[in-house]
Amino acid sequence: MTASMRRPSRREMVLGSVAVAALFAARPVLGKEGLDDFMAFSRRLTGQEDLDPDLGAVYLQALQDRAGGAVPLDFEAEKKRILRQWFAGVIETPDGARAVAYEEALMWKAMGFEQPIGTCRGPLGYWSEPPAG
Amino acid sequence: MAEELSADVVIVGAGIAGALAADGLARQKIDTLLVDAGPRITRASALETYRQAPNRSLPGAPYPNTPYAPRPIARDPDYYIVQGGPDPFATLYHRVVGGTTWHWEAVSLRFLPDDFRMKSAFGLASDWPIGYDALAPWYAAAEKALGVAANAEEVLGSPRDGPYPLPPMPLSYQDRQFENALEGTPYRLVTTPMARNTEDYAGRPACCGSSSCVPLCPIGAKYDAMVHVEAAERAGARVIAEHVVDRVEVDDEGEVSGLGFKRPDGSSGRIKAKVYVLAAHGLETPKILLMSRSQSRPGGVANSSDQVGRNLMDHPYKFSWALADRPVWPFRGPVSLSSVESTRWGDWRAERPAYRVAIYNIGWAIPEGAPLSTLQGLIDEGLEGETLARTFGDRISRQVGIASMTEQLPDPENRIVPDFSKTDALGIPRPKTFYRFDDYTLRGMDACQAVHEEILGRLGVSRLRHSRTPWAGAHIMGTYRMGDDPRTSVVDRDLRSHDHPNLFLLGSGVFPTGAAANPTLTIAALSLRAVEPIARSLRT
Repeated sequence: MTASMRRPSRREMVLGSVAVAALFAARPVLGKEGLDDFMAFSRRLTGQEDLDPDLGAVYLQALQDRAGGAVPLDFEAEKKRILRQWFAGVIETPDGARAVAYEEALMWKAMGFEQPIGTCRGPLGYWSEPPAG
Repeated sequence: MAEELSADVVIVGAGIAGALAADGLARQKIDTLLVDAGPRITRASALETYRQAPNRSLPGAPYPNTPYAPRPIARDPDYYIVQGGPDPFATLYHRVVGGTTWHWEAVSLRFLPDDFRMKSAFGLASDWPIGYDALAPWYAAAEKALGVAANAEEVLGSPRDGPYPLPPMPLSYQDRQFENALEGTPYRLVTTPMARNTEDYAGRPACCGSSSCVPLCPIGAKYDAMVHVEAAERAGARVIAEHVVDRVEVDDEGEVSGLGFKRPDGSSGRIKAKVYVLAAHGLETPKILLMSRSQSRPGGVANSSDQVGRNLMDHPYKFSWALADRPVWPFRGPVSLSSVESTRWGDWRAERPAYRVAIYNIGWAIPEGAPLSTLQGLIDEGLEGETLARTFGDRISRQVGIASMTEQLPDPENRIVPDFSKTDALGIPRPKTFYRFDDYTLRGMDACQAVHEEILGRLGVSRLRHSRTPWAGAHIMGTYRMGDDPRTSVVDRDLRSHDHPNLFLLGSGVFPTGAAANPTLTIAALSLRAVEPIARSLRT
């Protein structure tokens, strides 16, 4: 996680709740409460149980910022955005794509890695054998 | 007031060519100033920039691209270079202290004896003024300086006297699959000599398999020129960043008398020295020389031959990528470990280019930007949940990519000139290229594609794809060639300007021909060899 990430304030959480409820108002998957709903929805969408709620708050905020108070009509596009957030750790901003998570991105585990690319991942020659498991 | 700097020897460009020379001179107690246009960065800051880059796989991702020392970027050939055509000159280099070795792959091959005598052996281009034997001891010194890991028993076509400084890198699981597939073919896989530590060496640790050598080794197990920038400083050299040299001044006697520079804030100054060395790589060095035109030298400095900026060469690539039938587990260990090198020699070089085939260990990272692009593709297809994770993991585990790097012949019409009408933020002309792939290169592309079909066919793949136009190797060579004849070359065999006795030019710009081997070890060997002539010229 980077220094640019922070826990949203109570006010932002409440706003988040309203925005996400509105965001997915036509869908049964999301119920009432902002971040909790977003996390539950994210768990179903990614198939991963162990998701970081701090990161979830950043991702939710990014979706809300992008929607700018409007209700996005393309539910499939929103789902793809959320998947990209969790798997790649990348959000969309008005200035373009921005990485907000690295180790925590789900892509590494899906590739069978305990450590992401760009970090030390084992002793010399570990790569001579296929990954365990 | 204009700043004035002085030293006995000033070297412009703190990449591998300049850093090795600075270290060699400083260790002889020579007052040496090493100047770079770009900023000085740290490994930690580059790593943080890399992790925060949305597209981390691009080789430029960790490195600054400043308005005062701009550089090309991958996948947008028009960004900095002005493309004069007909073909785009796509390339990438870094304008930071440490230069482009920050992101290099660390391939450390010697050229072959025949690579120095293309005219004599094949009737092509021209011979080098020096042969393999003259450079062999300097290759050995360069291998020691960089810390090259390889197996001396393997036949690479370049005779050698002793072992490499480091034992060879263990090959990857994927390399073994290729090795098995190629049994019985003429394509024998070898462990590529690489400047990447396989044990502690020169105070740097062994490789820990981050698989990010390009763009950045997180621990300095891979050699980069910061090793010798820092060594030069310890030996007493001064290193100054963010000074963009844009002028070489020559006095009435034909001696270089000073350099002009600009700083990021637009202020300017001069550097005075006894001996001047330009080592700013294959586009910026000729650009500075050609910009330094005057009434008495309308063609620029060091250019009585009219060869400065000409004979621009790269190593055109054919890239092929596919999905292996079974998992090969890429993205574990260094970005590349093995290669076919025996295709660098043969009588057929008169007809088509020599080449080497590298087995990449990073799936589709180079051609498509994997793993992020693979992930995005599956999300776009509508996959989600466990299916997304499982499919992504399976696809990644089976991605293979191989690349042939080919020799390109020098052509005087392929050239770089300063574009005085298109300038950067400091008002300095941007480089403009005129560039064309000839039939020799295009024949090589076709031949390499057929070889790739055979290699990947034997491995067992689907979804095979090939690059169509030649891809850039980002090796910039030939633009201030060396030779014995001042009418046809820019520097002599000691890399001294034919025109100006106190001016030396380092880097791959001096290569008369480019071979089919990555240029860095030869750049390093030539720089180490140039230290004594530079020191000697100071004494006379």
